[in-house]
Amino acid sequence: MFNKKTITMVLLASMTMLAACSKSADNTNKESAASQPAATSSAASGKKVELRMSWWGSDERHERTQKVIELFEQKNPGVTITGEYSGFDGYMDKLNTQIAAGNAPDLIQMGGNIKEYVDKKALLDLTPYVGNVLHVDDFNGGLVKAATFEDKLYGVTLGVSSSSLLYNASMFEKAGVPLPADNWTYDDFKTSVLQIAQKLGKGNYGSYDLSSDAASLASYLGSIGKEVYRDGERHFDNQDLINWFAMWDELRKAGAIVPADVQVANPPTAVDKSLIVKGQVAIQSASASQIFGFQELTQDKLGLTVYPNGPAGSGMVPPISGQFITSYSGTEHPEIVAKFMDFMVNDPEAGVILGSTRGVPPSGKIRDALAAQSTPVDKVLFDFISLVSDTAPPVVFQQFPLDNEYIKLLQLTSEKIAFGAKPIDSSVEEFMKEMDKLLLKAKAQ
Amino acid sequence: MLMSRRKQRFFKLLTYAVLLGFSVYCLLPFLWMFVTSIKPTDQIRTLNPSFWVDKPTWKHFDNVLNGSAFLTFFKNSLFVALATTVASLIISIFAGYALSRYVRFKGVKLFSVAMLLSQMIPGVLLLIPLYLVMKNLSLINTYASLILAYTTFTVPLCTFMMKSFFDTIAYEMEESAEIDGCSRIGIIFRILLPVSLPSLVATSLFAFLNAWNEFMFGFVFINDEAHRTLTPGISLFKGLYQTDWGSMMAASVLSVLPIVIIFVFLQRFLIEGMTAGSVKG
Repeated sequence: MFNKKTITMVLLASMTMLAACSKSADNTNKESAASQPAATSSAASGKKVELRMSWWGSDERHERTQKVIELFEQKNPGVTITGEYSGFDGYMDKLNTQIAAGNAPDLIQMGGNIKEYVDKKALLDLTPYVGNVLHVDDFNGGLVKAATFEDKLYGVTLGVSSSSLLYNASMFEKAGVPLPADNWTYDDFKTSVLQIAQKLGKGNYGSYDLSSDAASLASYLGSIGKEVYRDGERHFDNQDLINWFAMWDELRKAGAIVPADVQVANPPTAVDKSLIVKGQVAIQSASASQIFGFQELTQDKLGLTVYPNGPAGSGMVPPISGQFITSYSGTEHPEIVAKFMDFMVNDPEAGVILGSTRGVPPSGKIRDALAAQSTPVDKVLFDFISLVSDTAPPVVFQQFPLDNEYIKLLQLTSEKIAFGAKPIDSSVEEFMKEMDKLLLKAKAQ
Repeated sequence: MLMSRRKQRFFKLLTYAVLLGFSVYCLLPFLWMFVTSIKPTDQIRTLNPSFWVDKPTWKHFDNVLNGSAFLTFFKNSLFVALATTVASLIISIFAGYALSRYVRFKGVKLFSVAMLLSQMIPGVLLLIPLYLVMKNLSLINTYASLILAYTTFTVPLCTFMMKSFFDTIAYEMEESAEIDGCSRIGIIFRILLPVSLPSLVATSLFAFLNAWNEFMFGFVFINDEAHRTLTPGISLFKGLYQTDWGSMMAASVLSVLPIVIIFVFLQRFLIEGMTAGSVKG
């Protein structure tokens, strides 16, 4: 008797709880599941559009993006966009859950893994809107290609970055060495580095040991007409790599580049450890937009330049998209979504608000608008991106599929040689063997 | 056991040495968290990390309390955790009583085993199904979604804890209450619960902690600032490339504080409750 009573009671209680919690349970369409409980009026006045947008980033990015959203809402009455922002940790997990549940935001910020989501058919094909609502003709062709799969455009680049050589201009001046020219060669590089080390004396070096740096190696191979990777194969041989390591070994023995033990203690990747900031090393490899962080920590003047040219000209990897704005394939207002994307990358006002919080803006028009009110560092960065856009060979760069493992392998090989633990030729042989294993593994995936 | 005094002393020392080792092991992260939270930014990441702080600063705490929505997150977490605790306590008291007193019915044993088995399912597996459920109930981005989800996670173990405790209470006590005319619900609230206070405390602490510490569901179910709980809130200090370690640690210190205070006051009950349940379970 009591048994039944309890069960009914508990059941009743839980039902009332549920009912109370879900006041809007009666509009069962997709909209009601959206973040705003006040969506009830959407059906009544057909013009109201509610969108959701998700992105990750820092505080500054959140604030600026919110401002752009407000501006867009002002210009397009009836449209409201709710931001769902967070840090990067868990961002993709949340997105995967939302996509699986058919409840993903209308606008989604994406990183380099855009293809994964295209394959899942989670992203909206933007091709129908290109030209009329969405304008990307101002962009470097490679940036559009990066988000194009099977002739369909799935994303719009929000920011551009490029690998670069970051140099300490003040050290060049102190040593009386001319600044790197836009078309300098590996011979120029060697002379400059040697001279800086000699003139500035002990404890100062012309360059970090870049033999471990994947971006430097990629551009070196490009400059001799080879490539790291294309279509499942590597496109260089033992001798290329032996030459590469031998060049750095020669510089190391001449005391022109940072010795292995110093490099390990002061890795160039850590902004606050880098010796370039302390004025002891003149050149390192970095992602171009990192110059802000480096410049903040030093009085010396910093600059950006391209990797040296080789017999085949420049081997620079074309600028890459750091982030894309994409749309969920289940969105109910694709046209307004496309309009907002266009607004983010092409509207001068929005461009100025966003600044370079997501990398250098892809549109030259916006870069010009920004340059008018930018700091000297901004200008160095913008000029560099324009320079790379002009000089980089028109190839579509293919990233090595198991990039992280490849980078680690290169680093390990370079350290073995730099610490003198193994001669160059046997290290290279080992590297090649491991690399071929990685290629097999990538194919199996 | 017969032991020489010397031997006894040796074992005592050994015990304390081991305990000391464990407490250092447990406390070190917390200590480091606190030290980091009062370090000036330029001392947080250095080549020679040290526990000594040169110029302690409360800047990070100021930033967390005044410069971010920390207090909102804190309030949300507190509400969600308390509601979860109350809900799971109510359910598990009745369920635990039923499982303990009605073993003679078919399926009761099976049910309690099934409840424990449900604990073996990793929570992440439930993420997508629960998200779908919440979406269809239009509960996404509400406190209710979190309270419901957390309650379902804690109820099985809470029920098991309550059941184990009720098992230790003599049935004769209930019989005499029944003879005096007490109703079944009266028996639970007037006779059983007062004697099982330690177990109640342990159970509610478990539920509270679980809800307080959960990250993944809080992160996925909640979309806006006004409903966000502490754990995802703290992760906001972490960007893709740079992390505001000082503020993150300050926020962590502040969010650990309530738990520490609760533990200090309820520790006595907690230990009794734990042993009471486990020995006879």
